[in-house]
Amino acid sequence: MYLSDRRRILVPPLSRRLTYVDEKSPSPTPATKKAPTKLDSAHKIYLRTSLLPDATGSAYIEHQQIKILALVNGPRSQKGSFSPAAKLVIDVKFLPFSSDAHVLGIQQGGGYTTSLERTLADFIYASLVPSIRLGQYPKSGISVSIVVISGPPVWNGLVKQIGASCVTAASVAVVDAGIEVFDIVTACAVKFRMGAEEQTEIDLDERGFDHDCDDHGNKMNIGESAGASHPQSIGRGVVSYMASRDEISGFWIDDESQEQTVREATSSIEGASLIQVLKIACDGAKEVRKLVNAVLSQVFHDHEEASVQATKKIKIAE
Amino acid sequence: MSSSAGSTPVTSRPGTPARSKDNPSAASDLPAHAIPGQPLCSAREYAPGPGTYFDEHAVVGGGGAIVAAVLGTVVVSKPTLSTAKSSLRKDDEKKVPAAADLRPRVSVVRPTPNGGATTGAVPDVDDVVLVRVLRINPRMANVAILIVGESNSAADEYGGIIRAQDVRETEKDKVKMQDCFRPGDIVRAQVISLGDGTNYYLSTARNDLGVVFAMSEASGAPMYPLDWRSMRCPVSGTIEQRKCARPTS
Repeated sequence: MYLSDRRRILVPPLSRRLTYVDEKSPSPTPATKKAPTKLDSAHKIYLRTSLLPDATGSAYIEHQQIKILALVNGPRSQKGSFSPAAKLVIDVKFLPFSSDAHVLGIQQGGGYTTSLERTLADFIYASLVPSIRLGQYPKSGISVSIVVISGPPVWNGLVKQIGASCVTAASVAVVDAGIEVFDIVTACAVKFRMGAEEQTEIDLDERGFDHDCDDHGNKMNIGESAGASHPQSIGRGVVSYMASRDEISGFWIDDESQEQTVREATSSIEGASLIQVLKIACDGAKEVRKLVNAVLSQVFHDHEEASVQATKKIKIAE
Repeated sequence: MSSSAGSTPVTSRPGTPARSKDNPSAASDLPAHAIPGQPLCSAREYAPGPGTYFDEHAVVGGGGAIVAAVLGTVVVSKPTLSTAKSSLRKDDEKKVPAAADLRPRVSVVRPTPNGGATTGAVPDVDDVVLVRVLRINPRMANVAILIVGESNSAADEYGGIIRAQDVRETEKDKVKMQDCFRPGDIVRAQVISLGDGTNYYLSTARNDLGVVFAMSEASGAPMYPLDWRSMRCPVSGTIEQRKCARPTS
C-alpha cells in the first residue's frame, strides 16, 4: 500500500480508539454545558476568496478550529484521449500536525496521499461534480487542491466537520475561478443520537469523544458507562447541498460510537430520523449559503469599486 | 426536486438595474449582478447567453428560468444575426423553442480588476482564435492556441492543426504549406472541429483569416502585407509568401 513507508504499521483511516470500561466507577454526571445548536454563521465562519493570484481561483475558510485553503487551477488543456467534458481532479492534503491524525499515521508523512485524504477527496468529488458545468469545457481538466491547515481531532470522529468545510471552500473557489456552475455547494456537518429523532443538531463539537472525558480530568474510564444518556451512541454525518436548486449532492454518514457492542446493533438510524438529519443539515447548509452569498457579492462590489477607480484614473490621465 | 425562487437565499439588489448594451428599457426587471445559482428571468422573455444556463425547473414567471452560472454583472444584449445563430447552436437544451433567436440575450460577465472581460476561455467550434505556428510540414501546420474569441487570453495553451486543405477556399490541392505559414507566425483562424485528444482543427479559409503578424526571415523585422499571399519586410525589402488575413481596423 504505502510503498514509501513500509516500516510502520498503519491503522485503518477511520478506526476507533480502544476504550476501557470500569464498572466500579460512578457514572459521571453528564456535562451540563449545552452546546449551541444553531449555526450563527455570520460571526462564526470566516471566508475569503481570491487570496492567491497565481491560482485561477482560491478560497480560505475558518470555522472553529478548522482552517482550510482551497485552490482551483483550470480549465487546462489535457493531453490524451478526447473527452467531451472537463475532468475534475480533487486533491486533499493535511499539513503535518494540522489535526491529530498524525497519531494514527493516517496523515501526510512523506509526500504520499493517505487513505483519509483519499476518502475526503472522494466525498468532495462526489459533492462538486453535479454542480460544475463540465460540459462547457471539453478536452480540459479542472484541478482542485485543498489544504487542511488545521482541523479538529480526526481521532475523535470529527472528520465530517473537515469534509463540510472542504466542500464549501472548494465550491467557492470554483466560483472564484470563473468556472461555470449550476449552483454553489455548501455543506453542513450534523451529529445525532442513533435512533433518537429529536436530538439531531449541527455538529459544533470541538473535541469529539473527549468532550465528556476532559471535563472530568481526562480519565479514560469515565464517560463510557454513562447510563441513560448514552453519549457514546452518536452518529455524525455531512450533507452537501445546492440551496438554489434544492438538491443534495453529497451525503456521508457514520456511526461514531466509541464502543460497539452487540447490543448496539439495534440502534440503527431509522427512516424518520434520517429525514430529520437531512433536514437539519440542509438548514445548516442554507445558513452557510447565505454567508457565502454575502461574501461573494462583497467581493463583487470590491471589484466594481476597483474598476470604477481605474476608469477614473484613466480619465484624469487623459 | 424542483426549486422555487421564493426559498432561494440569494441576495440581489433590485435597486440598480442591469446594464444593457442596446436596449436600456428591456433590462429594468433584472438584477444588476448575479451569484451562481440565482434565477434571473423567465426563459420566455430572454435567451440564455454566456455565463447563464436554462433551467426548466426553476420558476420565474413560468416556462423555466435563466439562471446565472458565474459571478458577475448581468448584461442584456439585443440579438444580432450571428449571436442568434450561435446561441441556437451552442444551446445544450434542445427544448428552447425555435423562435429563441428573437429574444434579447441575458449574459453574466465576470468583472476583472483591470476592467477587461475574461471568460474561462476554452475553444469551441466557430470561435475565432489567435494562434502561434509551431511546426510546418507539407500536410499541415501545428499551432498553439493563444487567445480565444474576445477574451484576454486562453485558459491554457491548447494545441491545434491547420490542415493544407483548410488553408484557403480555392485551389485547395495546390496549397504549399511553406508558402502560407512559417514557424513563429501569429495567425487568426477559426475552430472547425474539437478534433482529437491533442489538437483542435482550425481553418483559415476566409478573407479575414490568416497570418496577422510575421517576422522577416532576412532581417527579423515585422512585415506588412502586400496582398493576400505576400508580405514585405520594411528593412530588407524582401517579399515573402504568406496566407495573409485581410487587415481589420
